[in-house]
Amino acid sequence: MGTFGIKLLNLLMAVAVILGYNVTLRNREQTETIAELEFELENQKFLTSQNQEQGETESKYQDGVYEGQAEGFGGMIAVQAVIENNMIAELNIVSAEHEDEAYLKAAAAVIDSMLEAQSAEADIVSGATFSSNGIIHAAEEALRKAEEAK
Amino acid sequence: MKKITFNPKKTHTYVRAAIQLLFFLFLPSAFTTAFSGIKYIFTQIGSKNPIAWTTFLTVLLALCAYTILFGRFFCGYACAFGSLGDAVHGLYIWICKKCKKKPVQMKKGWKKPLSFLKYGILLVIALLCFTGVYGSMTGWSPWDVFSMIQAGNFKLGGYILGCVLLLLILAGMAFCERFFCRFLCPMGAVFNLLPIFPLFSIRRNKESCIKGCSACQRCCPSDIELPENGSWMVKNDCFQCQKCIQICPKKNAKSGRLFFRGNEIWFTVLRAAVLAIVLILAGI
Repeated sequence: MGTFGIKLLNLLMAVAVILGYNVTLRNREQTETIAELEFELENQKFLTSQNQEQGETESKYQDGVYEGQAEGFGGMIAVQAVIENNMIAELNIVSAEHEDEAYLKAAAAVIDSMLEAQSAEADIVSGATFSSNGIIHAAEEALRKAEEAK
Repeated sequence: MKKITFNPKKTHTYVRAAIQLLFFLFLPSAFTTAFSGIKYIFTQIGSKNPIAWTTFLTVLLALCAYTILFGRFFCGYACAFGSLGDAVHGLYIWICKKCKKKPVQMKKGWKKPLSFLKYGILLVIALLCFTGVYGSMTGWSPWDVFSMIQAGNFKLGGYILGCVLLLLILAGMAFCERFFCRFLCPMGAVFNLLPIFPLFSIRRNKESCIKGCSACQRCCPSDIELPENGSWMVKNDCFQCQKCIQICPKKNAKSGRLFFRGNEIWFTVLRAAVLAIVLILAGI
């Protein structure tokens, strides 16, 4: 029973450390965003007077559906980019036959950051380097086609 | 010509081989996925990023929870690397038998000190992840090479070091059963650090043992001396391979639970089914 108790205690401590780490990080993030928002609010008065017209940023992409391919872990990954109103509306993984399900799912997180950035720039998911790179490079190719179409 | 007959004494061996083959073919990436969860945690903490819920973590937690409850059944029956080791070792023994040679085996005295190596490997990988070096190191991992070959990707040009390490591990697997699992596996180190409930571990009634018989200990891939009936002791090194149950001439080695005594084979199938469901639900 002795070692069981010690191991159980260790496990609980490890879980507690990870949860504690996550909670403190989230709290810190929250205070940072609050400070940022307050700062923005302060500056709003000045900004509104200056920030009259900015104009829409020129988009580089032509509306349509484009597809790109790149090598992942076990084979080719095909990504489809849907451009609507000159914006990247969707990025879909069309096929990834030889990719491992769990890794592909984890790597698919790069799609959200690419949509947010409106470009094929994204940080790779650690642990799923190959699949992430495959998706990013496939998206790059699709978006390049969308640029060339313009 | 020898006739191939079904030996009922070997039922357990056949069942185990079948389960291992099925897991090897259909769920081969559980081990690397779970270990990616460990690497992910250390990478995130090292780079001061929050630990988000990913499939790696789900698989890691599912496997750990399963192991805490059932023991290291995953290692003995479902891990692709473990099954590979069993196959290589079995093949080596078979070849030796055919050539009428005595199989070379690792010295017993080496095994105990070597078994601490896996903790070192776990620590080194954790530190490499923590410092962020791991991500920029490529081409060395024997697991990557193994997964790539399994995925049908043979572009191993940048993986020479990984290939060499994999070959060395394969050689070790031949000369010592469960070589990788006992001495090198970082996931095995994690499992060894987990508290395992003594519910389903194997016990024996030592009083009715034949004097001087140590068949169970000799056939055990981890050289475990079985604990007594009613004892709470759990050996974390036990892979739940159940070989001891099969070999005992007096059928002394049995599952710790009354309900499963004598029905260990069905219990094995049941555990395999539960494990497969858990892994699929976790997202493999």
